[in-house]
Amino acid sequence: MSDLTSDQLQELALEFPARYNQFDLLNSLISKDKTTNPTAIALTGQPSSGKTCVLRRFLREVRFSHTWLSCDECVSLRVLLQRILAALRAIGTEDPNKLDYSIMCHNFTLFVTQLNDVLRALALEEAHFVVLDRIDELGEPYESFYQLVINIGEMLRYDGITFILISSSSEPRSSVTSTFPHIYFPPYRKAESLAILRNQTPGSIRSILGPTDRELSDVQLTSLWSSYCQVIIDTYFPLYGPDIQQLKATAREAFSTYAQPVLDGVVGILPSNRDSQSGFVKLYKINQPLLTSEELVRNSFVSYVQSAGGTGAIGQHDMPIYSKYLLCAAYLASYNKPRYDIRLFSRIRESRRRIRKSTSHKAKDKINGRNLAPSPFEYERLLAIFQCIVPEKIDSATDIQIQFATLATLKLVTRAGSDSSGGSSMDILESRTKWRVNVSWDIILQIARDIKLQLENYLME
Amino acid sequence: MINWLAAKMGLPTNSTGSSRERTSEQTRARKPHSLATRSNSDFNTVVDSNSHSKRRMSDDDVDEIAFSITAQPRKRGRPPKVKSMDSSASESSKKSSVVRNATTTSTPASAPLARNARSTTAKRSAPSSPTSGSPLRSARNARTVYTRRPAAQENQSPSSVRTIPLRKRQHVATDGADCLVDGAGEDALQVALEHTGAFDNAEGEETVRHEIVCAPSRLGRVIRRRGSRTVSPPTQSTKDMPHLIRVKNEEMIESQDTVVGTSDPKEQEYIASANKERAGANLIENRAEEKSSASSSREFPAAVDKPSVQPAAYELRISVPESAMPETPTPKVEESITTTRTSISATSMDKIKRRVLAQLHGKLPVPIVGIDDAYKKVYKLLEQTVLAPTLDIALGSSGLDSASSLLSSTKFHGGNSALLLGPRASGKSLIISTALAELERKYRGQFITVRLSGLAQTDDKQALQEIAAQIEYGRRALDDDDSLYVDLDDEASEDPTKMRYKRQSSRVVLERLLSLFSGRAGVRDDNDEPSSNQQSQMQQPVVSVLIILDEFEQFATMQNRQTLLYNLLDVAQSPRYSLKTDNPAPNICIIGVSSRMNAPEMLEKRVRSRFSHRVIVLPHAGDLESFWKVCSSSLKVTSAPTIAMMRAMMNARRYKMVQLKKSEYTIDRRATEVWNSYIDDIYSSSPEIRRLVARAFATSKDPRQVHMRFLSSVRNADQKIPFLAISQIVGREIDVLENAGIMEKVTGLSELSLMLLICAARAEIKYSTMTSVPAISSPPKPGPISNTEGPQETTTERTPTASGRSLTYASQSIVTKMAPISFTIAYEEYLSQAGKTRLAEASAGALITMPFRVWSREQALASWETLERRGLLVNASETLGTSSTGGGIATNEMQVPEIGLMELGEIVKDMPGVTGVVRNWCAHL
Repeated sequence: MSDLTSDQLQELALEFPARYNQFDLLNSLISKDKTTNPTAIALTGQPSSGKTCVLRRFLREVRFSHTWLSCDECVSLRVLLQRILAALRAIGTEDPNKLDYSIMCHNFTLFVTQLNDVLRALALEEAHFVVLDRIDELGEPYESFYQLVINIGEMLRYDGITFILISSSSEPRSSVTSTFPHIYFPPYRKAESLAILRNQTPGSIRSILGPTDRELSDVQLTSLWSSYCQVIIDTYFPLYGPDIQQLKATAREAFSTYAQPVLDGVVGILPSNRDSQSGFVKLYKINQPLLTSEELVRNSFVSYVQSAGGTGAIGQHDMPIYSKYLLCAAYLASYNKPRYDIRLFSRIRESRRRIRKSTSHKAKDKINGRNLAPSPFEYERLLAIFQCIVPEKIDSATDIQIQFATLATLKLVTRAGSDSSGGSSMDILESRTKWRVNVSWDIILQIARDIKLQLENYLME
Repeated sequence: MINWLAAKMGLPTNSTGSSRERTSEQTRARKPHSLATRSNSDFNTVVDSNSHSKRRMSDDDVDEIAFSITAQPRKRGRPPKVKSMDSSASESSKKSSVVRNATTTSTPASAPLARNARSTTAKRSAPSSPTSGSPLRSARNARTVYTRRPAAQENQSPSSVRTIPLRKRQHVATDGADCLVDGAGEDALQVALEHTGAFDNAEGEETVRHEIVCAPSRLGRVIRRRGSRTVSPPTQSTKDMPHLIRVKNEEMIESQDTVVGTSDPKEQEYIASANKERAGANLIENRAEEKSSASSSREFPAAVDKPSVQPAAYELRISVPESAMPETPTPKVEESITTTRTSISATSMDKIKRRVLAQLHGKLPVPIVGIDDAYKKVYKLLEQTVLAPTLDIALGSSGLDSASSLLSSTKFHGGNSALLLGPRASGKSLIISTALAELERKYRGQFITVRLSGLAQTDDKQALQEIAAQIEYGRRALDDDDSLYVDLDDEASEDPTKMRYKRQSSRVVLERLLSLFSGRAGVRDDNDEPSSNQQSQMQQPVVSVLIILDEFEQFATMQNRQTLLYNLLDVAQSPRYSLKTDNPAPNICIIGVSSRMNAPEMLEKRVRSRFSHRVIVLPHAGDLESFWKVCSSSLKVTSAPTIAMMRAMMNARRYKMVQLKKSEYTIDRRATEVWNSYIDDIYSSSPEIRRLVARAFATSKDPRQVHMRFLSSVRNADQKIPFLAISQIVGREIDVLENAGIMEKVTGLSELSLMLLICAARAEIKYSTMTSVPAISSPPKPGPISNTEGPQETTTERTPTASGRSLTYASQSIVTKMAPISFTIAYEEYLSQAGKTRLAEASAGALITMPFRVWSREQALASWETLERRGLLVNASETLGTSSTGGGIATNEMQVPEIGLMELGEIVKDMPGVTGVVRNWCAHL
C-alpha cells in the first residue's frame, strides 16, 4: 500500500545519511490514496536537520501532486492564505505556475469556504499535498493558523487534501494537546555531519576549489576534501553544532585557501604514498593560523572592514569631543544611582566624607552593574553630570542640545519608554524626558580614553 | 418511555385493569393541564418540575415522537443509495432483530399472534419469496398498516387537520401504487425500516429490550386493538384531547408491532446467508431463545414492580455501538472458524487497511465506546429540538391552538443549550457527528445543522455570516431533499457560497438571521405542493436549527463581549411562542464543544444566565482496560459501516456523483473477525503493546497517542497472521509528546551555545538573591491619572482569564526571585569558567590533545541569539510581566534561562558527544 519499495528507501537513505527512518515514516504515512491520509502532518526538528530537503526528495521520488509554499516569503497570514488558494486553483489549468491572486481571502472563515469550493471544483481523485515550509517564520503570529490547519479536517466537506507543516521551532503551546502525526528530525551527530559534508562528488569539489593552475586527480581531490572536512568539523563543530548549512558554507569558503599549499606543490598528497598522513599533518600545520583565528566565521562584515582599515583601537570613534563627553555623561547617569550623584560629582568636601562601604550583602557575589541594563535618567541630570566631567568651560558656540539630538538619532542614547508597546504609557508632551544610554562598557571605555577621562573614578561599584 | 410501555403492555398481562385505570388517570390528568391558561401551565411546570411531572412529560414525549414518526415524510422515489443506507442501518441492528424474531417465531402464544407473525413475515418477504402467501394480499395488508393513519385523518374535519404536506403527498402516492404489488410491498418495508430506525434511538434501546420481554402477551392485545380499529374508525371529534392521545397511543403500538415484524426480511436474509453453516444458524436461534427467556424472567418483574423509576432502565447495558456491530451476536459461531484462519484475502485486507487508517486519522467516526451516557444526553437534546415543530403541528391539529402551543412551549422552551466538555480526543466530535448522522437518517429535512468552529470563525461578524450562509445552504438542501446526497455540485450549492463571497454588512446578515429566528425564513415553503391546498392556509412546519459551536472557548474570548453567544443563547432559551406573533420561532439548539474545562466560567454573567447549565463532561477512560477498549475501537473494523460512518463516507464523495456500491463499503465478515480478534490478541499477548498502551494511559490518556504508533504498521500490514509488525509499532515515534520538550532542544545545541546556557544557569544561581533587576523590576511610573485609567479599564473589561494570568504573574514574581541574566553576565561567566578550564589544562600538560578554545564575544553573541531563537532563553520582561527593557543593546537585554543548572546537568550527563569539560561546568558552582 505504500509507494516506495524498501530498495528505493535504501537508496534514498544512502543519499541522506541518518534519515532512513524519516523516509520510511513519510512513506508509510502518506500515499496517493486520499482516504488513508491524515489532514495534517508536521515535520519538526531543529534548523538544518534536513526536513525540507528530505521532503522535497521524497515528493520527487513518489511523484505526488503537491503545492510547495514557503511561509517565510509571506509577510502576513492573509498573503499566505491567498497563496494557498491561488496555488490550488491553478492545479489542472494549462499553466499551473501562473497564479491568480484576484480573489482575496481576509479571514479563516473565508479561507475554509473557499477551500471547500476549490476542492469541489478540483474533485481530487488522488491525494494532494500542500507543503507549508517554515511555517514558524511567517511574518505574523501563526499559532491560530496552525491550530486551524491541524483541525481543518472537521470543517472541510471534501476529502483529498493533506497539509504538511514544516517547522523548526517547537509547536505552539495551544496545539500541543491535539495529537496528529509528527515526523521528528533529530539533530545530526558529529559523525553524521562529517558524512554529509564529505558527501561530494569530485566534480563539485572541483567547482568549490575554483580554477586552479594545477590539476588534481579525482582521488587526490576526494582524499583532500575528506581530510579537510574532518578538520573543519573538528574545528567548527563546537561552534556551530549540527548546523549543517553553516558548516558547509564555512567549508566552501576556506577550501581554496586551505588547498593552496597543495596546489603550489609545497605539500604533496598522494594516496598511495605511505607518508600521505604526514602530508596532511603538514598541511594542517600550515593552515593552523587560518583555523585558529576567527577570520572564517565572522558574522559581521562591518567589523571586518574596520579592523582592516583602522590603524588602531584608539581614535577610531569619529565624533565631536562634546558628544563624547555627553555620551560618557549619559553612561554615568545610567549606571549610577541618583543618590550617589552628590558624592561623585560635587566638589563640596562634606559630601565626600560620608562615603563608606556597606558590607551587609557581601556574602554573595554581586553582579557587576555594568552588565545590567541601563536605567533611565532625566535629561537635566545628564546635563548636570556633563558639566561636572567637562574639564574646561564650554565654548558658547557649541550647541549641546543639537549634539545630544544627534546622539539620539544615532541611537547611542535612546528615549526611555519610547519603544514599541511601551509608548502608550509615555506622555509625549511631558517636559521632563527620560533617556537611557545605549552603549556598552567596552565602547564607552574606549571613548573615555579618547578624551582622557577616568571613567572609573565616577562610577560607584 | 419504559414506564409507559410497562403501563401499556407489561401490566395488562398481570393486572390489566390497573393499567387501564392508570392510562385514563393520565389522560384525565392531562386534560386540565392542556386546557389551563398559558400562564397557569407555566406556573405548573415551574412549581413541580420534579421527577413526577417530568416523568409524565416524557411520556407525552413518547407519544408525540411516535406520532411524528408516522408523519415523517418518506418518498417512494428515493434513490437506492439512501435506501441501502437504511437497510444497512437496520442490518446493523441485527442483534436485536435476531432476538426479536426468535421470540415471535418460537413462542406461539395465541392463534392471532401466530397469524400475525406469519402475515408479517410473508408481507416483508413478499418481493423475494412469493410462495409464502398471496403477494397481493400481503401487500395490501402492508399498505393498510401504512395508510391507516392518513385515512383516519381524512375522515376528520379538514379544517382542523394539520399535516405535513409531504406526508400528504406520500399518502397520495401510496394510493396510486395500489396495483403495484411489489412497490407497495417495498413501501411497507420502508415504513417498517423507518420505524425500526425510530426506535433504536438513545432510549429506544430499552424499548427494544422491553419488547422482547413482553412480545407474546402484547401482540395478542395489539391485534385485538387493531381489529377494533379497523371495524370502527376513530371518532370525528378530534377536539377532545384525550382521544387524540389515545389514538396516538394506538398508533404507537402499531408502530411497535411493525418493529417486531421489521426484522423479518433481514433475519431471513441473514439465515439464508448463514444456511451454509446450519449449526451456526441453529445456535443463533437457540441463543436468542435463551436470551429472551432469560431476559423475560429477569427483567419483566422489575418492569412491573417499579414502572415509574427511570434509572432502573438505565441499568440495562445495551449501547448503540453494540447494536451497530453486527458481529456481536455470533462470536461463538465465528470463533471456531476464525481460529483456523490465519490470513485475509488481499482485497479485504486492502479494505480493512483503508478503513482502519481513515479511522485512525479521525476521518471516519468509529462506534462509540464508553461514553454512551453522554451520547444519549446529547442525542436526546438534539432530538427534542428537532421534534418540537412537528409536535406543534400534532398538537395544533387538535384545534386547540393556544393550549397545544402552551403544552409544547412549556415543555420545550427550557433552553436548548448544552456544553460538551472533555479533553482532546475524548470523543466529543464523535458524539456530535454520530448524533447528527442518526438524526439525519431519521428526521431528514426537518432540521438544519450549523457548525461553527472557534478556530475558523474568529470574530462575531464572521460567525454571523457563516451562520447565515449555512442556514441558507441548509434550506436549499431541504428544498431538494433527496438530491442532497446524489448531486450536490449543481446550482443548488453554488449560490450560497457565492452569497458568502459577497461582503455583506453585518446589519444585513443580522436582519436575515433575525427574520429566521422570528420564524419567517425558517418556514419551509411548499410551492411545489399544489395538492396540499387544504394545509396551505395552515401554519407551516418550522425547521429546527441545530447549532454546534466547536472550540467554544474561542467564542467566549472573542471581541465584542460575547455578543454572539448572548444573542444565540437568548434565542435558544426564549419561549418559542410569544404573544406578539403567531408564528413560532424555529427551535434552535446550541451545543458548545470545548476542551477547556472552565469554559462555562468564561461566560459573562448575562450570557451565563441564558445558558441552560447543562454541562456534559466526558472523562477519559478510567482504567487501563477500558482505555484499550477505546483505543481499539479505532483499530477494529465492522463489516458494515455504521450510520455515521456511512455519512462521512458519502460526504467525502459528494462531488463525485458516484454512488457507493455495497461491495465498496462492506468488508467480508470473516476477514473482520480475523482482524478484530487479532487486534485483541495483540494486546493480550504482546508485552510491548501493553507497555505502549499503559504508557499512553499513564501520561496523557489520549487514545490518539496510541493510534499514531499504529499508523505505519497498519499501512504496511501483512496478509498473514502477524498482520502488524510489533517492531514498527513500538519503534516509531510519530507523536509530538515523545520529542517535544526542552531536552530535545538542548541536544541540538552546539558546544558553545550549551556552554553559554550553562553559564547563564550558573549566573542565575549565583546572583539569584542579589539581583534586583534595576530597569525592569521598577515599572514605569504612572503618569497623570487620565493616562493610567485607560489600561486599567481594559484589564477589567477582559474575560476572567486575563485577570487570572496577571494573578499568576504576580505570584511568580513574588515566589521566585530569579535573576535575569544578560548576555554580558553570561559571557563573563563563560570567560571565567574558560580561564579555570585552561588553567586545569595547563597543569595537565601534554595530555590534552585539543586545547580548549575560547570563542570570541562576537561568536558567543551569535550563539546566544541561537539560544533565544530556540526558546531556551526567555525575555525577562515577558516572564516577570513587566514592561520591556526598552530599546537597549541586545547584549544587555535581560533573559531568563528556561532550564536550571541541575536539570542541565542531568541532560548533559547522558548526552553523547559532550566533552568532560562541559559536564564539569555543570557540576561545580
